[in-house]
Amino acid sequence: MKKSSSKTKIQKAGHKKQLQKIAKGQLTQQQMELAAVLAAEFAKHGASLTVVGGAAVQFYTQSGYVTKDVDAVLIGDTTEIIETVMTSLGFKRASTYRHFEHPLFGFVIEFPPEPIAVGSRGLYQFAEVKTNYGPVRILRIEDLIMDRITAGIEWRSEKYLAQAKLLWLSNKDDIDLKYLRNFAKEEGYEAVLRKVMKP
Amino acid sequence: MELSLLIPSETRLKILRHFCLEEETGPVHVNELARLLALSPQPAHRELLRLETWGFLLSQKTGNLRQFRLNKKFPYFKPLCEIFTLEKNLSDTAPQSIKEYSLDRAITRKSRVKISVELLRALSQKNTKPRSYDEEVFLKNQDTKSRA
Repeated sequence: MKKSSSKTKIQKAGHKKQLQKIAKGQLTQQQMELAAVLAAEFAKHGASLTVVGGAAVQFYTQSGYVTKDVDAVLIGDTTEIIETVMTSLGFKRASTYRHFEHPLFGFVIEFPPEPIAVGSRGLYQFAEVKTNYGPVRILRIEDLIMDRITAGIEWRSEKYLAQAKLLWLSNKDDIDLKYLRNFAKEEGYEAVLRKVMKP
Repeated sequence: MELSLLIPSETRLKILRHFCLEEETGPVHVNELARLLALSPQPAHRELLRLETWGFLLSQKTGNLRQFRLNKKFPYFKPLCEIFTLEKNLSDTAPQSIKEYSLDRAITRKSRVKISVELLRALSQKNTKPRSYDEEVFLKNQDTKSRA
């Protein structure tokens, strides 16, 4: 019993040092490195983590867009483990059930419910960002553009469409156009995509 | 996708999943099933009896042993087993990474695109969709006020 509690203490101290180091980086770097640490911790409990939403937009636009939330979808049976993992890293629940904050970071971690889907399409293929703290999965740029377009239409918000445009402008040389156009066609958003891609 | 929310008893969940996914297996005795699913025999036996009372399982006694099998005529058999098949299919489509980025390279990239004034204005527009964090903080504050 004593042995395991001292092991936990050592682990906690190790995490604290790690997080202090991460907190010194620039915002996008902080978010992605922290997500990588979380991904590794959740992987130990059989759950996989994927960064979606605003933090993914921030990464792909080189901070052209900045967010105060890191949305991370967990796949797996996470009923019991979210609290355990997050508190072991020094996070506190910031709201009723899915937001966590840490004194070292100026943003919150949010766990939206699975599945990972954009429009009517469930997503199983992602990109991976290699960080100094291990890899972290992130939405593919094409899926993220479609996610913003869908949100823009659904919420009648120019802001999301502007994010889609910024994503397009920042990554147009790196985009699988065929995939993106097919996706937009399937969802009935071809015209919107054309508008987003317009110079 | 978590089914534990729907079926909170882990023993029950494991037994239901076993009978649904291995529906062709013959009658099984409680100790055999407990070993197979890594369950304690006592709670497993209790759940088997409950599921038999519910109608999902049938049992027969051979000598000293009571063996349990699936009741395919049970009205919820099909829809219930469809849930477990779906659960299996979802876990079979495990997430895959098909592209790689280096964080160091991404954050040191100098070629950030120029953002036009028009685009900047649209990007800094107020959210029409409430930020869920703000929504929750609002609810929490309301809750604290009403308690006070």
